[in-house]
Amino acid sequence: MLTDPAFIRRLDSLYLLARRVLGGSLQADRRTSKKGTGITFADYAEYSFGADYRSIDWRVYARFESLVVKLFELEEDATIYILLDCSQSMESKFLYARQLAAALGYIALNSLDRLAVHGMGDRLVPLLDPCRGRGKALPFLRALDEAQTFSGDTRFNNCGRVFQARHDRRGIVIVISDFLFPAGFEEGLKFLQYHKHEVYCLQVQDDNDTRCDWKGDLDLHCVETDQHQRITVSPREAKMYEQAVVDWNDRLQRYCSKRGIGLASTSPDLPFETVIQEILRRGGLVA
Amino acid sequence: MTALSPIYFWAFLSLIPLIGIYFLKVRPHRKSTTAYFLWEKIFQEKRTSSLFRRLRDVLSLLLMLLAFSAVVLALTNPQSTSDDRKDALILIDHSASMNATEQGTTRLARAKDIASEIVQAFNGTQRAAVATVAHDLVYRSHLTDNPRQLLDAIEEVDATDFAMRSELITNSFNEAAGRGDHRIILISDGCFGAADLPEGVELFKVGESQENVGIVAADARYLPGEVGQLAIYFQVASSHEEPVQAELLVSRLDDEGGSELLRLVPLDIQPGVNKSQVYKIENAEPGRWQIALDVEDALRADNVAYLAVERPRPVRVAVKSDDRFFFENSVVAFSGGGGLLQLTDQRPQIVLAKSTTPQAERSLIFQPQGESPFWSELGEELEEVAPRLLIEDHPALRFVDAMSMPFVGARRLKAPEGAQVWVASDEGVPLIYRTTAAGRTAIVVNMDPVAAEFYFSAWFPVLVHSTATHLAGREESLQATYPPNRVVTIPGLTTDTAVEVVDPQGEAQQTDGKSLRLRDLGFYETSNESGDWRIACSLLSSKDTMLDNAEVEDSSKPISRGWLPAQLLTMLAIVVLTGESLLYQRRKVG
Repeated sequence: MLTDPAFIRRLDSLYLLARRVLGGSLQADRRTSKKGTGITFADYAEYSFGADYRSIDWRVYARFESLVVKLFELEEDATIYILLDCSQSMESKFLYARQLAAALGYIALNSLDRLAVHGMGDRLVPLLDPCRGRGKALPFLRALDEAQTFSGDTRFNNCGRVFQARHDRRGIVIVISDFLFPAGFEEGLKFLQYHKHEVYCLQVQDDNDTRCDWKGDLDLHCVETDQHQRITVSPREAKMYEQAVVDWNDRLQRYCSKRGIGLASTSPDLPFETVIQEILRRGGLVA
Repeated sequence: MTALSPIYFWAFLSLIPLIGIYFLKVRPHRKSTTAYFLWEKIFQEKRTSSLFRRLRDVLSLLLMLLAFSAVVLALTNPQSTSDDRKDALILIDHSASMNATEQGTTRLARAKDIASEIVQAFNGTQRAAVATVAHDLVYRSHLTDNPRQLLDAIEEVDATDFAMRSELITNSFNEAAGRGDHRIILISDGCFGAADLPEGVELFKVGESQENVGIVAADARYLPGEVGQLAIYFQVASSHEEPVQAELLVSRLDDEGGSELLRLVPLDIQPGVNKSQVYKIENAEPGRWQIALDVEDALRADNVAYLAVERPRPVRVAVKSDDRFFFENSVVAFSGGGGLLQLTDQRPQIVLAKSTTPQAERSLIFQPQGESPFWSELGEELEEVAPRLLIEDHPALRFVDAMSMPFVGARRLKAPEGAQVWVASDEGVPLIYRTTAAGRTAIVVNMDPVAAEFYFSAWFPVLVHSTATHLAGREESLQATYPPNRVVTIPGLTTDTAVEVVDPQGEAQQTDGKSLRLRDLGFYETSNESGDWRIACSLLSSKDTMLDNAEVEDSSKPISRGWLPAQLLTMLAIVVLTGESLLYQRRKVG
C-alpha cells in the first residue's frame, strides 16, 4: 500500500534527503533559463522599444549615457509530469514502478512543484490531474495505489502526442517504463523534447525481461497483445534473446545520451530509495 | 525373401495405437513474455528452420512408424531365399599330412586360420559345430552360434600322426550331405583321396603338392637259423619329380636316449613308391632301433621309422601225461622257426595234461577225470557227440576246425560257473571250454585223445599250439613297428586288465584292458610277468608321404558374411529411434 504511514515515512526521509542534497528549499528556487520579473539580478540588456521603464538602470545611464535595462531571473514553480507505464508488461514490476513514481511525486509536491501523473498503455490515462502543494500528497499516493495495469500494447509515441495535446505547459517529463516498446521509443522521446520538455527516463526491468531460462517447445504468449506462437527454444535461441534485450537497452542508452535525456536503469531487486538517492546525488533529474 | 516367423506380422497392429498416441498432441508449456517483438525478430531470422519445425511432428510419426515396422519385420526373421545360411559343420583334418610345412607354417595351422575366418564370417548369425577328423571323428564343440566357443574349439585342435580314414567322412556324412539342410565344410589338404568325398561335403583345400620323401614301410626280424643277424626291411617313397639322393641312418637307441649309428645306407630314391629293400646287420642286439632318412623336407614325421627288435621269446610248456610222446612232439614241432613254444620242465608257463589236474597256473587238460576244480558232476561217456561251436572265431580256435574234431570219450560234466564254453555237444555238454578256479586257468578238452585217435590228427598240434599261446597271452606276435592308431594286444597278459604303459613322451598311462591304441610316434614300453615289452609306432603312410593333392579341387562355396536381415532391421530401428529421440530432445530441452 502506497498510503501506508510506513511508506509515507520512507518518502519523508527521501524528501529530507533531497533537501539536503540539492540545498535549500525547492520552492521557487528552480532556476530556469528564462528571464523575468524576479528579484535576483541576472543581466543587463539594451533598452528596446516597449521595455518597462521601471527596469531602466539610471545609474548606468548617468555614467555611460546608455539606456540599459536590468534583467532579473524568473523564479517559477516547475511542472513535473510522470508518465507511468501501465501496460501488462509492467505487471511484475508495477508496484516497484509506482513506488518510484510515488517517491518522485512526493518530493515534487513537497517542493511545491506542480505534479501531474498519467498512465501509459495503448492510451494515455490520467491518474492525477495537475496539482501542487503538500496537501495533494495523499490523494496522489492514493491515485497511484489504485492504479491498475491495462491491456493493450504500449503505444508510447501515441501517448506522447496525447500528452502534449493535454499539457502544453513545459515541464519535466519522467517516463517510468521498461521501454520495451514494439514501435520503439525514439519518436516519443524526440516528440517530448521537441516540445521543450525536460525528459527523464527511468527504466525498470526485471529478470523476466532480461533473461531466458526456457527450453524446448513453448507456446509463446505476448502479455500485452495476447499474440502467441509456438516456438522451440534451445540454448542458442535463449542466448539470442538475452543479447537482443541487451542491444535494445544499449540502443536506449545511446539515444538518451545523444539527445541529452537523463536515464536511470533499475530493477525491482534494488530498493527504490537507493535509486532515488542515486538520482538525487547525481544532481537531480538532469541528463 | 521369406519370413521364418510370419506370425509376428500381427505385430503391425501396434502401429494403430502408435498413430493414436501421435494424435494425442501434447500442448506445449505456455510462456508469457514482455518482449514478444524481440522473439519475433529472432524467429524471423530463423525462418528457414520453421518449415522443419512444422514438419517435425510428421517426421516424428514417420520415424516411429519406420522404427516399429523395422522391429516387426525383424521379429518375423526374414531370410533371403538366395542366402545360404545353413547350420554348418566345420571339419578340420588333423591327419599326419597336415603337419607338412609350407612357407614356415603347417597346413594344420592354416586350416585352423581358415576355420577361424569362417566362424568370424558367420559373425554369430549362423550355428556351427567344430569337429576333427583323421583316424577318428571327434566333435570339439556343440552346434552353437557362439563364436567364442567355436574359436576356442578350433584353438584346441592339435596335430596328430594318424593317417586319414577317408571312409569316416563317407560313412558319416554321405546321407547327411545329401539332404542339403546343412553345410559340411572339410578343411583339409585332400591328400587322402578327396575325390571320393560325398557330393555335399565342401572341401576347403589347404596347401599344394609338396616335395617330400619318407619311409612308408619298415620291419625288423632276426633271421631264423642265424645268430644275431637282423634283417631290416624298409620301403621309401618320394613325391619329387626327379630322383633324390639321400642316406638312410640305421641306429640303435640306448635307454638313456643316446643312439649308436650302425649303418649309413646311401639311397637313390625314385619318384613314387620305391621297391622295398632289406639290409642285414650282424650281431644286432635287441632293443630300440631307428632308421631315418637324412633329408629336410615338408614332412618330418615320415623320415623316421622306429623299430622294436626282440629276440624270439618261446612259451615254456611242460607235459604231465602218460602219453608224453605225442604231447612233447606237438610242442617241439612249434619250437623251431619262430620259436613260439619251448618244451621244458623249468618254470613252465603252460602244462599239458591228460586225465589229471596239474597244480599249474595255466594248463591244457585232455580227458577230464577224477575230482577237479575245473569240472564237476563228471558222468558217463556220451555215445554220439555232435559238436557245436558256441563262439565263432575265437582266437584259440582260429586255426582249428572244431566241428570236425572227434570228441570220442567225451563225458557228461558240468563246467564251473563263469566258464567260457567254446564248443559244446547238442545236449549242451561242454566239449572245449576255458575256466578259472582258485587263481588257476585251464582249457579243458572233453575227449579221449587215444580213443579218438586225435594224436594222429593234424588238429592236435595245432590245438596244442593255439591253446598254449592263448593261455600265455601270446596269440599274436609283435611286429617291429606299427602305424599310428593301431590297436596292439600287449603280449603276456592273460587277463583283460589295465596295465601301465610308458608312452613315447615318457609319461605313464593306463591301457584300456590289454589293448593299447598307439597314438604317438616312438616307443611304448611296458612290463608284465612275461617280461619287458617294447612297441614301436611309425607313420608309414604312403598317402601322407606323397603329399599329393594336385588333382584335388577346392569345392568350397562362398561363406555368407555380415548381418542377418533381422539384425539389419534392428539396427535400422535403433538408428531411427535415435533420430526420433533427438527430435524429442529438441522438443523437450530445445
